[in-house]
Amino acid sequence: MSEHTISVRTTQLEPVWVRIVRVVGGRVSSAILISLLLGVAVVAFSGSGPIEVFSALLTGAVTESGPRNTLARAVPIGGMALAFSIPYRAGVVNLGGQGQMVLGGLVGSIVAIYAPGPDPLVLVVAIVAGAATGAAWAALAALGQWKLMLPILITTLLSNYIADAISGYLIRYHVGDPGASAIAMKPIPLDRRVPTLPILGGVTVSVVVLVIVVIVISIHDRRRVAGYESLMTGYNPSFAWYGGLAVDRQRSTLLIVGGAIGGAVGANLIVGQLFVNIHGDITGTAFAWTGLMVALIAPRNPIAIAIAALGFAGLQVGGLAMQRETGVPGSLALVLQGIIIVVFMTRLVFVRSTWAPRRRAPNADTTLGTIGGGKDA
Amino acid sequence: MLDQILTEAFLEAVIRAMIPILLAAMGGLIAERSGVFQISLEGSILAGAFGAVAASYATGSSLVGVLAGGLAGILISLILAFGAVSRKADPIVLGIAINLFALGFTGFLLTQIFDIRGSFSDPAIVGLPDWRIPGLSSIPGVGSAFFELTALGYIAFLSVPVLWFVLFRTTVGLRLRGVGEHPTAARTLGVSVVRYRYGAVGFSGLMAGLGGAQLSLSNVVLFTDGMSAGRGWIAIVGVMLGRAHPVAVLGVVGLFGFSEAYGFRLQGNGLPSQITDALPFAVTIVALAVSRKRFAKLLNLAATPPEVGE
Repeated sequence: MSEHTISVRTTQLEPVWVRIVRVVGGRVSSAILISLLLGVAVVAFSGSGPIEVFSALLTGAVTESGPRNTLARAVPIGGMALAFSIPYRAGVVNLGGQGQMVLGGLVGSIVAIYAPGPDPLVLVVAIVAGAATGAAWAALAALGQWKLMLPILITTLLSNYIADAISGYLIRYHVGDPGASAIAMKPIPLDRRVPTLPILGGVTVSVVVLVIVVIVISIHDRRRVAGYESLMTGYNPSFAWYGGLAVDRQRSTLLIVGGAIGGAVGANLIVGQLFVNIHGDITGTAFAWTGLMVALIAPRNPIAIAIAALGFAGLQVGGLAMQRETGVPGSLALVLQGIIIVVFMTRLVFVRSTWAPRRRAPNADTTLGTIGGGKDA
Repeated sequence: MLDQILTEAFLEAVIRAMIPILLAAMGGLIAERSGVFQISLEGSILAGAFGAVAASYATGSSLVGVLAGGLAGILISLILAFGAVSRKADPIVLGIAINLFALGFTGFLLTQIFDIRGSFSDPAIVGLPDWRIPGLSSIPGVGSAFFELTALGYIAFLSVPVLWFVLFRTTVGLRLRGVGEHPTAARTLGVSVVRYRYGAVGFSGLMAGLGGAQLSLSNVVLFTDGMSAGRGWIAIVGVMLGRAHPVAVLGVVGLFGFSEAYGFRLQGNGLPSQITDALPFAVTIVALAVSRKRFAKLLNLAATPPEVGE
């Protein structure tokens, strides 16, 4: 507890720019530098030239179609980061992002393929339907916590596998394309795909939407009561409860909002990027998990999340280019991501100032016994 | 339906499905008892499966394979130990990053070393032999299921009474539980909390790695990307559901093994695999709901829940 008090004081005394310089100059750059060193070691150990490999990775991310692909990838990663971070700030760990995406993508593509009506409207309805599906799926977990005391951490996690099964079953036997070689649906009709803007040779409108969402959320957090309340619950659920906040309801709502974003991201991934819903593709991208890691870099700062999402997207795009250029597998990007997060979370920094505050993570529901805040206290 | 379950072959399938999960869960419960939320079991299983196949392929010895699998599991878990114990990082975050790292790293090495994408099988990979116990293995009905296992299978089942004994009847076990339940009190008595937690997490990595070796050298003899397929998560749920008590955890893992084997059986009856694959996970949630409502008190008597977190 004393640690916590100290951290609040230092944050208040310290000007914003000092904090930015310290975090970026300390933890962020150290994380990147250390993971780069480890990455070089991994590449060298596996018998390839590190300089060649990493320059291919870097040029792949910034040249030709690199920036456009990076932006395109930053949408699902950043979106899933928001889907995780919104409930996480109130101490709810939503590990069900993947399932929410899968079901959102399923319903979104069903709507986009089969619904009648004008194309732009159908497109919007498809994404909204995806969001509603993700929200409903997350609501089940919230209900389980509320009525049956099932820990959200566990139910959301396990529901990923069930969501995958439902989606696989429906695509295989009911809504799929019987002519396709894989378990897949029909492609999304051309006029019902997310339109692109003439920037960088075609960036989808989704990028703009995500930027707006990020701005709205950060304003909401700083200026609105509900935003303050969700942070309050995260820092101290008992305090929020004693303060008269319906912590259970608030946490359920935030989880459902997270689920809605996850579902919308899933639907958008199909109608805006992949254009055909092949069973296993949404899971295979691991966007939900990458987004989760991105969110953990700065759980309470949507703008930092957006920047980190861009960074990880660039890493993945560069990884694919590197694979084409050098034959070194693109999964190196996953390895580097993991290392970056581990180094960042363990606060391995080269330059340590003695007054660097150690901030505690919000009280996450990691125990079986914790039931939505102070209710059982 | 019942005549399909009450067969020796079905019992064998249950036991076979249980072993990797049981190994990981027995490791996980020790980490849980020490007060570290062990969420990187999935990564340790995967690394263990890869290490076992790679070493068995390189040396032609399944023993070396198993040892390498255990070692790989330990190495993965030590990242968690370092982060969560020494640096007080959030174990959930760290565990997820570690699991993704393991997924990426095994895939990376698979392509870099063996020049193969996705799945690696080769006649040069030596699988684990089944050890028949003479006499016992010919007991009708249960003999071949329980007494014709790999060495790892016997280790898995023997670890239940052994860990129970260590936890509740030895000084080391008492100290371990003390470290988990009240670290400050343990520290004042001169017990090194950090050392116990490192040991416990390392042990959990070893067991999960062995679980991975069982998966890739006995259940099948090959390595596939992401072949742990959620078993580490199920082991974690098993630990939570069984309140980190070896016997209770064994019971929960038995339920998972049953539902996995039953899912396969249903698949044989023509039910789509997409549905039966989800069975263990659905059963887990139902079990969780039922046990929370009905057996909460009973479970509390069986074991006091260890404190999780810092």
